[in-house]
Amino acid sequence: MLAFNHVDFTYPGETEKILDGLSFQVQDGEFISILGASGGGKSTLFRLLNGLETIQGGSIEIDGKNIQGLKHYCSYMPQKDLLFPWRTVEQNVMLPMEVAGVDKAKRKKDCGHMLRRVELEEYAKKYPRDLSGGMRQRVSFARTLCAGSNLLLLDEPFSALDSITRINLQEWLLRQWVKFNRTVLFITHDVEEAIFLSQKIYVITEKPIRSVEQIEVPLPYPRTRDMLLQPEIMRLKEELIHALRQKVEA
Amino acid sequence: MKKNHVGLLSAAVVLMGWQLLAMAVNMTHILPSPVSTLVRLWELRESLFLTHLPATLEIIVLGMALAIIVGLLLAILMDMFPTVEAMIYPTLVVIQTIPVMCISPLFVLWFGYSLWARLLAVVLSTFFTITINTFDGLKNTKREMQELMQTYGAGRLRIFFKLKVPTALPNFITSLKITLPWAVIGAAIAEWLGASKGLGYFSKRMMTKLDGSAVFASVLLLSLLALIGISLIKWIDRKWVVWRSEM
Ligand SMILES: Nc1ncnc2c1ncn2[C@@H]1O[C@H](COP(=O)(O)OP(=O)(O)O)[C@@H](O)[C@H]1O
Ligand SMILES: [Mg+2]
Repeated sequence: MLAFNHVDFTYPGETEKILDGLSFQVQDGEFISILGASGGGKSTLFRLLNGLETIQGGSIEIDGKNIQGLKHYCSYMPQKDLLFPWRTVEQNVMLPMEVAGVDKAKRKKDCGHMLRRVELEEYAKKYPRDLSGGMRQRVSFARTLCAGSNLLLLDEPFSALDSITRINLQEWLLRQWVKFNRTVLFITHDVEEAIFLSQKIYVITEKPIRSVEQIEVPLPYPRTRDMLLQPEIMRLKEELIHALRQKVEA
Repeated sequence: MKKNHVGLLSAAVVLMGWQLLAMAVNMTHILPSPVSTLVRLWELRESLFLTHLPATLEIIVLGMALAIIVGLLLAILMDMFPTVEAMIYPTLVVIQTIPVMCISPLFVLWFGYSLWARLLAVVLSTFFTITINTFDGLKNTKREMQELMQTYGAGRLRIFFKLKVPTALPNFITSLKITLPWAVIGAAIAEWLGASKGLGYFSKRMMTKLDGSAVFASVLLLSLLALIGISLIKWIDRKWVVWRSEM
């Protein structure tokens, strides 16, 4: 379980608070979307979880332990694929294991397994430039899985893709999630994406962030896109858009 | 017509014009013709190819190697420590503007007619550019990529070898391409000033003998050295630095 306890955060050298006494929890195995307008502080949440920034008050805990004493507790997937152009697909996927000091034979084996899972095994020896945007994101996802932790932090991973690729990848990600049984925190500013993917949506509507509004998505898995057309879901979508828009106008 | 063909054609026209002009002037010691240059090259082949060319090549190769070592070291230090950057970057930029030709006599003064004096001329003509280009390359490292490595738990050393080195490699290779001709010129000047063999020394001696064709023959060899070197670097670049356009 992941818990933010009364977390305060301001970027060093800035005056504007980003988080102000924020608390929330995420249970193991959940798929949670964090929904909010751009510039609201969503990515900052991940930077804090990652250890790239340090909180000034409160605590972030995983299974009751402060993350400051932990290692390899989360795997982060950035918005841009950030594949290294001098590495083949396979070498890119193995990078986190290389850094973690996993021996070569196991790296090879896990990487092959991962590439099969993202359906890209025939591209192992290709370079990122030989791949389409959607494929590159899948490689980036495989690399994230190879970082090995149970908590996946996905920061708007599909936002740079065209809409068809994006829809395909959303469906693909759900199939993956069912298979690998890990906790997913998924940042998005797209209401429909949040509804389609997640069990719960944490909505950010204020700045600094003092709390998140938690909304359950009343849909079973496996999901199909026509479920989005149910009246109840349409209403939820309108509500969410309304909530986000208020924030922008404020 | 391909670009190569245009180049060859214009080179042929220039050579022909030159040949005609030289024949009209008809004073080989002042304006040797391409043909007389080639003839002289053939006549002097033994001393040129067995004595002087190897001597110059040695200085260029050793000098470049030294310049690369010093240049890389400085670039890495500047990238690692901002204070080092603040200390030496401005100095480097100033020193870069000093023409090596003007200060080379000093090296002879300091080191005599030794190998070191000649190496120093080559190193000084090249290492600034290598340093600054490589340093800029290291600075090109994408912050997001570096942070991604950090989230995998990578320390400075890992980030350096797995991310910074490949990022800076295209710039480093470019700096070699730029500086190689300067290294050739530096070597020739140094030999001109103080040496007992080498193409620079040879051209000076032929000058005193008013043998213009022989002077041009050695200049031709120097240009060929630079051209071959650059082609070699370009080939390495194409083969190994395939990600250049994506940086
Ligand atoms: N490294 C940083 N230093 C200072 N301010 C930052 C930094 N990164 C983001 N910010 C500021 O923090 C706020 C939240 O940014 P971010 O977390 O990226 O929002 P989101 O991901 O929701 O678009 C923005 O106002 C942004 O300008
Ligand atoms: Mg963001």
